[in-house]
Amino acid sequence: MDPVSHSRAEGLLLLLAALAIAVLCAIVTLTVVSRWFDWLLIPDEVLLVRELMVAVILLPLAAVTARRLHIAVTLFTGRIAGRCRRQLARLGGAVGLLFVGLLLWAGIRNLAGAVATGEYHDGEMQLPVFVAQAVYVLGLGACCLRLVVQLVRPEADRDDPGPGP
Amino acid sequence: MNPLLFTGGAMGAVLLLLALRVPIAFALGLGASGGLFLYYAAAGGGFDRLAGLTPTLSLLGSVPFEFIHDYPMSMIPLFIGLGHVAHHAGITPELFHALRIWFARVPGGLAMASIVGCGGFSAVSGSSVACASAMGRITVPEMLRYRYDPGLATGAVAAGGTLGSLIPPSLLFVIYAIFTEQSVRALFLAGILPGLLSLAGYLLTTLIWVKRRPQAAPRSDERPTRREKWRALSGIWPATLLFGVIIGGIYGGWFTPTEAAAVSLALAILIGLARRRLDWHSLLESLRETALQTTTIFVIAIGAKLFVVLVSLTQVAPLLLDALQSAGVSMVTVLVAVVLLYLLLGMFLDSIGILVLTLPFTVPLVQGYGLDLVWFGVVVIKLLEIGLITPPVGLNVFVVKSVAPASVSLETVFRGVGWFLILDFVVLALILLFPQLSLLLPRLE
Amino acid sequence: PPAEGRTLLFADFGANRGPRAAALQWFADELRRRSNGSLELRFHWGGTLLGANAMLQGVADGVADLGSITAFSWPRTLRGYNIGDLPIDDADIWVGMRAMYELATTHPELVAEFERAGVAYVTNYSTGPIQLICTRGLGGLADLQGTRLRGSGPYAQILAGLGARVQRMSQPDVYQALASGLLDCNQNYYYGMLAYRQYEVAAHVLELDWGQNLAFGIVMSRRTRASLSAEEQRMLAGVGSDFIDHFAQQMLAADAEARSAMSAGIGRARITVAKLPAAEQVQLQVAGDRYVGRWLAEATADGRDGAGILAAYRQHLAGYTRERDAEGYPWTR
Ligand code: NA
Ligand code: NA
Repeated sequence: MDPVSHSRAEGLLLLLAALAIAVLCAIVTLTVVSRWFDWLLIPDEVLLVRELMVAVILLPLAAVTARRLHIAVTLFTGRIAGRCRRQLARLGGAVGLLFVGLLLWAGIRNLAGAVATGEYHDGEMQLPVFVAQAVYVLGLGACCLRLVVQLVRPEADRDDPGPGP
Repeated sequence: MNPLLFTGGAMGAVLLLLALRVPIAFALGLGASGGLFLYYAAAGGGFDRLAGLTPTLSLLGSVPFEFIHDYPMSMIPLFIGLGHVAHHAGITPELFHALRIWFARVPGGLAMASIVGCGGFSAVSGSSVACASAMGRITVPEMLRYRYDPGLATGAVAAGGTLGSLIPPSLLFVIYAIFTEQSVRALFLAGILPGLLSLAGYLLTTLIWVKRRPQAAPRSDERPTRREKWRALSGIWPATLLFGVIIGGIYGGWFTPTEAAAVSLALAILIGLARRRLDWHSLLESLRETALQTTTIFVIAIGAKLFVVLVSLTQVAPLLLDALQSAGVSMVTVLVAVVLLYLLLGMFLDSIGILVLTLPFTVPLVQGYGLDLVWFGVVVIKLLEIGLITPPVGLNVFVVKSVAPASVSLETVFRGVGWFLILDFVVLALILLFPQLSLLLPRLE
Repeated sequence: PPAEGRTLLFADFGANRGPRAAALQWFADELRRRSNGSLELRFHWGGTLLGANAMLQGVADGVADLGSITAFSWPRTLRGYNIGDLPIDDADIWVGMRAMYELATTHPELVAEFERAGVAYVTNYSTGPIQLICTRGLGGLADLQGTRLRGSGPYAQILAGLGARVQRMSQPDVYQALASGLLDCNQNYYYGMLAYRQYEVAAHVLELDWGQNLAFGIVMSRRTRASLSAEEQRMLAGVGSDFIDHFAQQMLAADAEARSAMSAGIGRARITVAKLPAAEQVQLQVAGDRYVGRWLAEATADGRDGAGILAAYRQHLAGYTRERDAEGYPWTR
């Protein structure tokens, strides 16, 4: 198990993303199989896959951040340890919070627009646009919370997992 | 104000943040966001914060979302998942058990088997990143278990993965073909020999590496009997079946590459469950690992995508080429300039972004000198493949790093890839000097 | 506004090639010429700035000053304008484009629709009439039974109703799918078959000459529009209107050129063309009426005057058909 773990809520989001991969795989596989038998089982297959991709990529974002799995260049700071290293980790977290916070702001703006217009995706299911936008905002929001926790309570999880280079 | 300043400034800020250990995704993303804001705020002549904010937020909302809200992109989690499931289901450990026994007497045998495996995988995958992630997941832990040098183990797969776009099928060739109105089939055929040449080059690199430093790839002291060899071979049927289904499926017309990714993942799960090597718990665990790894890769790609928008907006590519053209003269100079441009962009940006940005300018230039566009396509794709393993932003290196154990640092992978990069430049020179390498197969048709 | 050179950003999701890209260059040249260099366009092709699905919001937000939109991405926001994608009897490129342009610039509901979305309508494109390119020869609609066909929009649904097994796929993927036998047929336009080199892997065209996608045009940021002088706005409207004639002429030529080039043979590849019998063309139109009815119901549910928009559109179509029959196309007069 990783030295730094995620909360139960983040674990649930990760589980949902894992299940989304399974569902995505099942949808595409069933489409292939149903084609051989000349059925058309799943309407809007391409759209469903695109919608699921949002869950697959955004929902684990908080867990990835909690486990400190984001890839960084450690070439110039490999020898630095202790307090200084913790300050660098906080800088990384602050830059992350700024960027992910901006993404969240933009996501909420789009979500509000999708709800206001009631727009949907052209297709048989007429799936509302806000669904994927809401998942997107949920993933970014959870990630922002985690980044805030890491900044405010750096002692809550260890500052650096695993041995350095 | 000169728009080049925005990109230059953003690029400098990104490099500084990277050096200070800020995660790559965050550094690229914030650098691009800052550049975009300044560009739009200054667009009216003065500096208008409000005029800068709305377009920047709009792009931050649409670019990442549209990037992931995409059907062919699903190939990446599916092929990553295939690697994890095949591992948990014992399919790849058995394959490597067989390869280990058959290659027991060959120096660096496992690294060579990994490279050959990458070549095989490339024939079923349209994307280099999917290639590196699936094969990396399969082979890196095995090589480390046999005490291979981590640099060799990860470098071989990161470099081997770049065969994905050169050996058909290839998403990049299709995009190039459409931009340049060349034949997709001709481009696919043109990629084959340079792809095989690259593969041979990687094998040669491994051989030289192991000859110079034998401890990098400890030889097995096993002396497998003929009977053991054949028994080991019987364990590779699931891997062979998956391979056959993907190849036969795509070329036999049963499904597209994206569908092949899903079908092979579903099949791997079924094989694992049927042979009782996979239970629900380990299945869920492999899907969780897949999700974590997919997200780690995509956040970086999102940052890179935002940077592409900034580069496009500030017209860096045409301005650079303009400068080269007005100063430049001979065909060789222009070609060298183009190669350098692709190498430079490849250090920072993603392949599709570079293609879309540069082709409108490089193709007319190259065409003006009467060069063959099929050949130039192979050159460009090879350059983009090199960009996948050059620092600081080498997507294949990140992918392999994310599948390797935490003890392997990013620098170790870049160091390992360095040796393969040398051979990549030799192959690139051969492709440039001998256009027949690319044009032989398309002309036979 | 300053008289000396203002550069407007134009975002396009497509590649900088083919008849549409050439026509956009004409648009930029005309704008520069008629404004004496005070208005320039700078293009961002290939979705590098805004992709097809981000275009409407992106232009409204000022990411680009102008952009090309495909309205099927916003079935509800642009409900009225989406009438252009319905299988209505409007297969003539010039007639269809003129009718659509007039509808979008004069019908109050369409004008309001664009205004609510934060953009202003500039001018229209067309994809041209739809044909089928197949790996084996089809004689008529009866031969569609069981063919694996890539299609899009209501046209694909109608073809499915006639027995085709319809698949969704993006146009760049079609080449391999036709080559590998995954697909038998593809819904496309003549110049599209040429651009995507589909004639290399499928040698038979069934000429449907059916419908065209017309909910496809150029919009402008309302903020940018407001910042232009009244004179500049008038000039822009003029270029937009002239663009219809120019584009229609270019498209008709490109389609005819592509058809004859592929029929004559390119390299070793050569297509044979079969025309859909006239009676079956009527059959296609009748099958399309269902989708017109569905749009009407949805428009009404959204509180639009669907019947009024449809009647106005049909009236414009009839008017321009009469004009073409009486005087010919504008460039032949
Ligand atoms: Na490939
Ligand atoms: Na790179």
